[in-house]
Amino acid sequence: MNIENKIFVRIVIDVLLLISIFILPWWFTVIAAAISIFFFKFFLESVVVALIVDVLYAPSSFVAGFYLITLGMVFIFIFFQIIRKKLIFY
Amino acid sequence: MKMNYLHGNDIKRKRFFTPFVFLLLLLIILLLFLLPIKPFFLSSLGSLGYPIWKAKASLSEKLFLGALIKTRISLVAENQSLREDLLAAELKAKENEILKEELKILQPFFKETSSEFYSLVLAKPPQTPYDTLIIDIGQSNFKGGERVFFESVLLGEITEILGRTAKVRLYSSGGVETKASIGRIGISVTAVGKGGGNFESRVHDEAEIEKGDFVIAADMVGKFLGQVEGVEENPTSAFKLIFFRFPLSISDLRWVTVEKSTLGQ
Repeated sequence: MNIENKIFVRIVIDVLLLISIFILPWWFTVIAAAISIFFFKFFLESVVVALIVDVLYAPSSFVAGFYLITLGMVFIFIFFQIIRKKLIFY
Repeated sequence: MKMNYLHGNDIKRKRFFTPFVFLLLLLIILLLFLLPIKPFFLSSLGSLGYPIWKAKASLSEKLFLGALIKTRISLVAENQSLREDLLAAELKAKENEILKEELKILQPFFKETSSEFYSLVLAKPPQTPYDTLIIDIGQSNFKGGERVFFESVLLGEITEILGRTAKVRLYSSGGVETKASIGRIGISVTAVGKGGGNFESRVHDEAEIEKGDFVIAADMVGKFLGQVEGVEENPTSAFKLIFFRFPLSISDLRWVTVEKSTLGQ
């Protein structure tokens, strides 16, 4: 896939993820965003998507934790950025 | 012969700095949402989501998409669940009679005037995490803190306003504590939210709690949180745990009522 197509696909995925926040169950959006990290280089949009889910749906006086979905996604994102270059098939 | 050499120092520096760049970016994003401009972001997200939520709500209401993919097993399960609901409704009717009598006695002591506002549920669990609802409030001037209920079930309260929508934190949201009392015996308890419409509460060992007892909201006459579904006793403890849940399925909610209470005015 050439670079223009990759960028186009990435933009389409971004838009779909954004729409899915408002329509689909939160876990579907989060899993789709996490999977996208594996397919696109430096897919920081996944963290932004998780952050939007948290900001939109977490109660302001949330007592059980602080933006758990965002934190989870940050860990996945950093973890994959570190191991990405060590993977043979990537 | 031409030779190419890797610049080892550059690669090392890059490896060293990359995680820090990520962390810095993430911190900037987090700060953006924590600073006072968060309401602006929330309002923008609410405005962006409003037409999508509204379209989804009206579509699902008109098309009954869920009914098309129902299997026989799910119909049997639904039948069972409806039988349980019927039983609950019968119990509720009895409870309502008691509460109406109670209300007649208590009403003269309160100078409460309230107006009710019916609101469409735009997003609900399982779409939303943390047991929250997004409701349509239109142009109403809610400020947050208004209580939300369905029929006589107290569900939660508005925590944030997102443009023409509002975020409702359900009392069953993890860790949320709500003052309540056990209807039949009148013991005050603190209902702790456990997520998914479930609650847990601790009462002293001698309290005679039975399955099916109503858990009534402490400061709202005629409203309740749920019915006791399980009691866990521990012989080594002076307390026992009671478990209860909302007597309705949150994922089936289409409308809720918001109370604009003006206590003492």
